[in-house]
Amino acid sequence: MTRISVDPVTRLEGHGRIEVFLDDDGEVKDAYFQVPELRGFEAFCRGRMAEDMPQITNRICGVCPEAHHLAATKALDVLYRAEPSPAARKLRELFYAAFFVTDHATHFYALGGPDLLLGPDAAPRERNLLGVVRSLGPEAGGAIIACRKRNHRLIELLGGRGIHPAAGMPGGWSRAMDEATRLDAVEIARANVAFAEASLATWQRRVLDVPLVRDLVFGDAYVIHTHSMGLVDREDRSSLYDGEVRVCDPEGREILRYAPRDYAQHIAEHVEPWTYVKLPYLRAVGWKGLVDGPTSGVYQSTPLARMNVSDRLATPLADAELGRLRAAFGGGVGPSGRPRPVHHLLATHWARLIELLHASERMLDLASDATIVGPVRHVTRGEIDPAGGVGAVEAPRGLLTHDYEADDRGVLRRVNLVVGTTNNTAAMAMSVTRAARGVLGRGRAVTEGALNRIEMAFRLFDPCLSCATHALPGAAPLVVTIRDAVGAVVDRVARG
Amino acid sequence: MGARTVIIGVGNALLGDDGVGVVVARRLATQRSPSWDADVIECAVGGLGLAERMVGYRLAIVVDALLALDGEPAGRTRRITLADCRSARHAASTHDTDLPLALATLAELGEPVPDAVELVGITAERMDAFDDRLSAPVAAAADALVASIAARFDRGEKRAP
Repeated sequence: MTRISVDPVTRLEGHGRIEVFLDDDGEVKDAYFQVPELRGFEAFCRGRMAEDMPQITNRICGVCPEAHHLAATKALDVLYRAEPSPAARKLRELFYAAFFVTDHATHFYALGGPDLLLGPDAAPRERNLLGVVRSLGPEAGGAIIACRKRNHRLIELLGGRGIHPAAGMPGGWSRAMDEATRLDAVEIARANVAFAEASLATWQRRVLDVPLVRDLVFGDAYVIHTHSMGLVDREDRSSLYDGEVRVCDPEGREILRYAPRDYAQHIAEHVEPWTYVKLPYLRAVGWKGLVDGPTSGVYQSTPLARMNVSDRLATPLADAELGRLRAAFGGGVGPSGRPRPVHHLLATHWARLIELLHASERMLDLASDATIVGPVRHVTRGEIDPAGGVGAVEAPRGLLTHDYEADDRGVLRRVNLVVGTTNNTAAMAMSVTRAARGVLGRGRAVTEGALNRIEMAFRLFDPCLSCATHALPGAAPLVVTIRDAVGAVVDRVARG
Repeated sequence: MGARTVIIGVGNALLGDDGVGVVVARRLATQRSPSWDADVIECAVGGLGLAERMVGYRLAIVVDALLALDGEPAGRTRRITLADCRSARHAASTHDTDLPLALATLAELGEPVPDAVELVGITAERMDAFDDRLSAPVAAAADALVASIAARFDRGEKRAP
């Protein structure tokens, strides 16, 4: 068997590696991604005070500390039986929406978007943020940096610190909002809405209106039919901060709906020898291998999956844009009576921009609500629920769940995290395999463009591996190694 | 007038030797005198997030953990250039982009990026498990680096009046 190794995957937090295995006839047999394991987080936490978890878990990773901070804080709400006040809940959600805006904007313009905005075959040296800024012009480039700047400032104002927020506490938020900050947040939210609309206009102009790129998005090279998972509110609308987990099958039928605390009843983990990352799947459907379809328990928890489980969105502009996305892929209602899900994975980028708009509109709603200025602190009685506490939020890259158990002094006995990227492990492997089959094998040369098309299959998930696992290599540029059936190196290509 | 220099400790203080940059920054922050022409901050991200924290300064000094290469001992302090920074995990860490590209992007947009970036790396012994302690050789190297940077700013790089 021939092995092609892409190491490390460029432009991802934490350096993964893609392995493509060819069979004796030179056809793509399977493709996986591999990541070194980061060990011992649960053991590190055991014996520590539960109330410290929002401050500990937000240091797991520099990319989504806000998500860990809130999932931990929500787990403490349950553990300490402390219900947050309406103002605290709104403030948390505002903080979180600001994080979503900056995270999704960064992914679109710096990480996943350049492949589409500049074309997948653009020179690698140009296919990056600087290339995007030069291509879109200084005004658009300045808007990207300004978006990050204003939202980071708001996150710091609300969260207490810029990088590692500190305001979450059981049943509350340590910093109340004053009226001046609220008015500031209204202006930030308005600017975000305008930025999100401009980003969607860019998507239209630079992706949907460009035949070569459009064909990639609508073609079959990046299609897998899996289940979709996402948090929804009582009206079956995507809800990033809170809600019930809804799972729909590949035709759109709701097959599961549960409170996040019941995750272990519904999600099991499969182990494969090629990765340290466990592969979660739907217990009720079962593990059938890395295959798609309604009888496979593989699911996705991504921006596109969140659109697929939503009947509609709670904010008008984002809801209208979701309607455009669905119509572009044929629209209509499936056998379940729900909108047909979209399985073209590159549309995940489009869904991410819709979430950028959704989060911006939600920020505007929350900041415009004068009752967000109110009491937010909660003094707990220190009673611990012996059943433990589970907190979940939608992280930008998938559902994030924190699960703690503590003794009656609040000392942690058990900690389990299911991080966003981990949900998508199986789907990422399947996506990479499908893309590889389209560009490798049959004696075709391993070109830079071919490798990039495989990476795109991975990158669209916006994987953040530094908390799913961790990054050790880091020193090497992208290396492709091709080995023959006995493991001897027959070719090596380096780039980066 | 703001400081000319920013000293940035990069890393994850919960990941063993990966946290050496953060440890150095925390100790410098407690030792610094008001006369230093330098601000001291911590940073958990690379790429654009790191570059943005340098904006407005003339000089940035970045302290980070380095992967030891080819049998290199842990605890060795190395000065590297921006062109080398792929070997520094956080400097190269890329949810978004690498550090040179991030700085070039900000410069392209007219942001006042530093004239010079000094990257100081300490080779790590272990960074693959959660631990809030440094290994002995890395802790010793951190001590020496803190003393060296403190002496440099005590000696002469004073804040403009």
